Amino acid sequence: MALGQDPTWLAYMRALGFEEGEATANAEQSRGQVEDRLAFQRPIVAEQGEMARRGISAGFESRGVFRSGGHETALAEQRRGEQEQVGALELDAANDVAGITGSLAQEIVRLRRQQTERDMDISQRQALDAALAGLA
Amino acid sequence: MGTFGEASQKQNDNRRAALDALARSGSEGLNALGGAQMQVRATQNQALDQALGAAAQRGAPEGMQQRIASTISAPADRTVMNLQAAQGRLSADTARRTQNTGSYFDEASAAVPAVEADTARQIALAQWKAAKKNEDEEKGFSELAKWQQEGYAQGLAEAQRASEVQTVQQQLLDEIAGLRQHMPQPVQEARVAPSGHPLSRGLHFAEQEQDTFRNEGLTRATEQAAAGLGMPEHGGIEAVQRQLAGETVRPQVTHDDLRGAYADLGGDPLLAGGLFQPPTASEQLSDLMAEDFLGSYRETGARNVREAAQNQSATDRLGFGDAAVAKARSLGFESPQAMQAAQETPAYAEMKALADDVVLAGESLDDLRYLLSEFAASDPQTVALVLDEYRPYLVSESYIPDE
Repeated sequence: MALGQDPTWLAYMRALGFEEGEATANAEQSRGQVEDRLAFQRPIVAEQGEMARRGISAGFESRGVFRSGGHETALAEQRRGEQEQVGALELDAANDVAGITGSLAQEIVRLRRQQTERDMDISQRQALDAALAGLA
Repeated sequence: MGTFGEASQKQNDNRRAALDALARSGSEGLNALGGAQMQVRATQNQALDQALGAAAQRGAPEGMQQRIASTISAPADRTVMNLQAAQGRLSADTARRTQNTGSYFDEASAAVPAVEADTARQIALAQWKAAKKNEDEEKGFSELAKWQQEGYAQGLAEAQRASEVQTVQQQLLDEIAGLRQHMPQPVQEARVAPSGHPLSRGLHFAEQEQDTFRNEGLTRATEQAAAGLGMPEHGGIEAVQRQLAGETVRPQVTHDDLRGAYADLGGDPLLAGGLFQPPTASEQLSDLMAEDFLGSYRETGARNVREAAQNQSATDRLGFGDAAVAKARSLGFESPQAMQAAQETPAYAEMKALADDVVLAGESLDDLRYLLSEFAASDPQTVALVLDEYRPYLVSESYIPDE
């Protein structure tokens, strides 16, 4: 009997296909959440940065030192902080995506290894059953 | 394609799917990290452009613009370095996982022959066990068939032997059973006597008498039956006794027996000797004639048994056996016939009436003897007969307590 004709093997393959499909769907969902989070946070950081810079400039302007080294330094520091925020967001998101795809790959490898072992077990059982059927 | 060939092909499919998943994961991870670097750089460039442009509008000196650029770029540079480091780790990790996965599938592929060998070993073992079982079963059936055949042949022979003697044996048993039915029955009368009655004391004596009659009759019938089978001197009595005990016995009729029987039946001894001299060229013919004579013997035996049974039955009924003769003479009669004649006389009936009264009154044998004393002078034999008949039912002396 071919493997494709064995009800046990077919049942196992159905379960395997379902698990692999579920794992892929979960990974896609997680990846989408990461991208959504990034797309949501990027403009917030940018907007908060802009607001902060306006506040800084207004402060220096009100004190009459709008054209001063202190004003430029304060703005540069604010942008550095904003760049750190942006970098952290991008780094975390990229690592999350890499982790999600890596986990999916590991799950697929695990399922395929399991399938390989199962195939051998079923093949051996089939061979034994076929050989022993005439001896009963 | 064999079963394991298909499994091997599936192994290759699984290997390809697993390695593809790892490669795709690595590629997507690297792409994500690379995309993040581009995004960080784009944000950095945008921030630099905005900051430096505004600073220039405000008339910031060159040195200040350089410090501004340095300040803004520092986080992005560190982030990009981290992302590049993550790419390196991901590449290494993907390569290691790919290698491990490939090694696993290499080992799984190499294990297929071992699984095939183990399968073949299990099949061979099962086949050997099945063959051994079949061999044992065949041997068992062969033995069983052999036993059945032997048993059938033996049983057939037993049945033939049994059927050869069954007719005569059954006749013997029937005749002897008939004899038993004609035994005297004093015990039946004695058993109805009340407990403690003198009659019950005669029960044991009566049973002994009955056994004597029966044993004599059976012995005589057995002797007659053995003679009827033509083997009075060849273990015939023993054979009949064993037959009566329920054992199947085949009479061993020899050629000598046949010759003797032929002569007994009036045949010419010389002719018998010629017919039944084993072994001869006409052995087959002799055997056939022997069968005929054996049949004649059976008929003769059966007839003798019937006559013996009739004689014995009559003898028992009349009390004319050896024991009856001995008893008649001990009582003074000349023969059992004379004793029987005495039992038909009025004097005997009168004496019995007196004896019955004595028994019913619970009196003793001495009392009966006293009552019969008036007959003693004229008919002492009948008096002795009555006293003998009633002795078992009476005590010797009456017990009269002193007043």
